[in-house]
Amino acid sequence: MAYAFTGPGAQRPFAGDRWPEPGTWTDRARASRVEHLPVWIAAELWVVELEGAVHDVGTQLRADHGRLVEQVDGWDGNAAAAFAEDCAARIRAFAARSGPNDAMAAYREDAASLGPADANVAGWVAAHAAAAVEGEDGAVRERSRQAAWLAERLELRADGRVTPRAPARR
Amino acid sequence: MSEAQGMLSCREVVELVTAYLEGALTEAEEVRFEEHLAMCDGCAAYLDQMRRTIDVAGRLDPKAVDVEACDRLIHAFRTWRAGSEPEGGS
Repeated sequence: MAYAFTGPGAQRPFAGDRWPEPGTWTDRARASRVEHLPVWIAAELWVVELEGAVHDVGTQLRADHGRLVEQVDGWDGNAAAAFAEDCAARIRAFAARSGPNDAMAAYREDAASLGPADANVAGWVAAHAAAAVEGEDGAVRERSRQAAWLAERLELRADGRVTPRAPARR
Repeated sequence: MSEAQGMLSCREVVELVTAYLEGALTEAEEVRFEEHLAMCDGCAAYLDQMRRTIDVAGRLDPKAVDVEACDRLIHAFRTWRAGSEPEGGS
């Protein structure tokens, strides 16, 4: 099990087509581990089942076959806005630590203009701001922190499942 | 290579877009290419335009082109020299 961010309506990023209906297998599937999800943020998030040969290529998982299992409902405009704001706060914090310089001024400007539609960019800028202050290890730590944020907010599990919610009391 | 170090520039993405669409990149290169697209709306739109252009151009049927127009085009290409206008151009 893994996760895949998609465009609206399960549009496959960059492929020019859509995932088939949930439950229907497709060839050459691409997904991501939780730890790399911040790199691929998009409109919808899905739990994906992979089958056949599965291998890591950088921040992607590639498999012979895959299918959508269920959409992660918690990833919506509110969650994207919260993620972007969380990253903006990180950017401001890194800028405060670094002292005045042009790169940080640009990052700080970015932070001031980030909205829900910019959650992907917010994560990227925060990682770069971290790299500017703490070096490349800082960027890796910042991306890990973002992944943990997503996992906690969306109740994601490392095996790709969403934590079952307790049934609502009547 | 870290994400920040490995990020392609927009110029590099433009240079690689044909190879990407033809499946000529290595898997690692493809992922770096897509990582850039994931956070760059401009390059993602460019890729989409290229894919649509190839899709539309690939569906042109040579038989659907008027014979006279085809002859004029072939003549124009054959007589075209660098620095000069093709003959019969409008």
